[in-house]
Amino acid sequence: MTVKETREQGFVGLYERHYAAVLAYARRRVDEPTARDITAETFLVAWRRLDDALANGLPWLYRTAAFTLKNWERSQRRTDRLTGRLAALPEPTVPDPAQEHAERQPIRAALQELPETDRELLMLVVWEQLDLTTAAQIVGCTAGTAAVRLYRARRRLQALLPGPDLDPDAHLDPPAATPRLPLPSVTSEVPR
Amino acid sequence: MTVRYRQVDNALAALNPVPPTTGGSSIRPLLDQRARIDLRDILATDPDAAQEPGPGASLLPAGFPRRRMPLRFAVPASVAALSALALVIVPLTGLGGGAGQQNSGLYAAAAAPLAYTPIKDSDPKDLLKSIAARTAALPDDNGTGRYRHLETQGWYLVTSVSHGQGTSWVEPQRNSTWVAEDGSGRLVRTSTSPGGATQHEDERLAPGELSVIPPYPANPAALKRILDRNTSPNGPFDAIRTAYLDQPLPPAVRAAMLRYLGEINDLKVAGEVTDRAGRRGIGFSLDSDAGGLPTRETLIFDPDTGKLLGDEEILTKDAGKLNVRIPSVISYTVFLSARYTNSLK
Repeated sequence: MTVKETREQGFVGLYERHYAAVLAYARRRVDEPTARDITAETFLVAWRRLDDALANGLPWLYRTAAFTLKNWERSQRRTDRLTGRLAALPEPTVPDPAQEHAERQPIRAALQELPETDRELLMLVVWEQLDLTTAAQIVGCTAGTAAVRLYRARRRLQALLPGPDLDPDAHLDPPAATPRLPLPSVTSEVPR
Repeated sequence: MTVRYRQVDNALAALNPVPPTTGGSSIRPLLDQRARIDLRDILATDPDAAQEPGPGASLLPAGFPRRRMPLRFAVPASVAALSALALVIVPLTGLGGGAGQQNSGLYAAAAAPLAYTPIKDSDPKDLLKSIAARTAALPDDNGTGRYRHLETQGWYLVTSVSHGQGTSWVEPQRNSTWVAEDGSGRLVRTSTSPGGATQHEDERLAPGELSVIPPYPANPAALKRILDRNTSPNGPFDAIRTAYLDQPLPPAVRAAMLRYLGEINDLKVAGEVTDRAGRRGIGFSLDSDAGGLPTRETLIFDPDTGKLLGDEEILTKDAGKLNVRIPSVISYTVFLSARYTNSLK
């Protein structure tokens, strides 16, 4: 097998393995057509930086998709400014598949109010079901910092919810997603 | 998720536009027509084109390599800890030495996984059963007191690669935690930044500020139900590590965990080993390629007490152009102490 064939084989394997996950990640943040473009761009980058992509797998792809999305958002805003539409458009300008929930769901609205990194961390942990360390890598901070942000974000959203958590099963369940670094789970969940 | 924030997470999960359990349903087949077209188009491009810095670079955060990308997009270099280009062994007794140092280029330091001595004719399940039996017979050995006190030291590698040049640094951490049942306690963390600066964090927390995970059950079925909740790659290993990172485990629970571990398919006996704190242990390994490259994760247990002494993850095979020394350690954790105490010192 030639070097080119080996490279292609490696990329195709990566693509087949993670396409659905990257697309789902994008679709949780933007509309379907945009998500498709974001996914294609993400894998194009992976093709050009295959060693990095293969070495780091899905977390690398998520991080690349996050940057691709961020750049897309900036581009959207730039376009809006150029066409004079910015003032007329409410934030966020990113099409949001769950937009319809925003008015009915206070927590959704509160989620949008969180600092960007905090929101992304929370979504990575709850929506992508990533462990804290991986989520921290994707947003580009240490696991300790991520733990602090996650704690504050959850605490802020908790205040919006009615009543205590009465899940009778809860006392037996340790966290499903846990850090791989030597961060005690209790500190990773709730430092100040 | 902790008890305290289960409601938050559940509420958020309900808003997930593409729930994980059904996420694939609307985008199946995995490679539909659009996906296949994109794949074909990507493969038709020249992967070595556009290496020089370009206008898209201005959108990148500081510190990331810059290069021109089609359609104005640009990306960061690899930052995931799973990438291993270099290894610097950090002295266990401190965070000095190679801690936090940066290395440019490949082969910045030699890789040094632990050396395991094979155990002849050993079956992992039988071996774990015998350790479990010995462990279960022990009296409680975690002491008494108000606080769960844990001491761990860990090390992991972060690598950034750009245009064939690797920059690697190690981020050692030492964590000490004291957690009371009322959610109060103290957290101390010492870590070293890539620049070599040591950060020391020391926080005191009031009641209710820490979430407290209840004790793990010794009942095998109840324990299995909890540990099985961890669906990450190498989930059983992660679940066990998580438990040890949270609380001192009594002998009965440790024994049940060893038996749980014995039920894992493809588990191998790595062999006898002296861990990074100089303690004798037996390693049990699981191979995986979930991260994109073949890795081997090993949990090391004290054969006399059944306690988890440490873990280690290594790259096991060739990593292509990364030119990584194989095997290379990606990360390790040493579990130094787990006990109950009344003192916050």
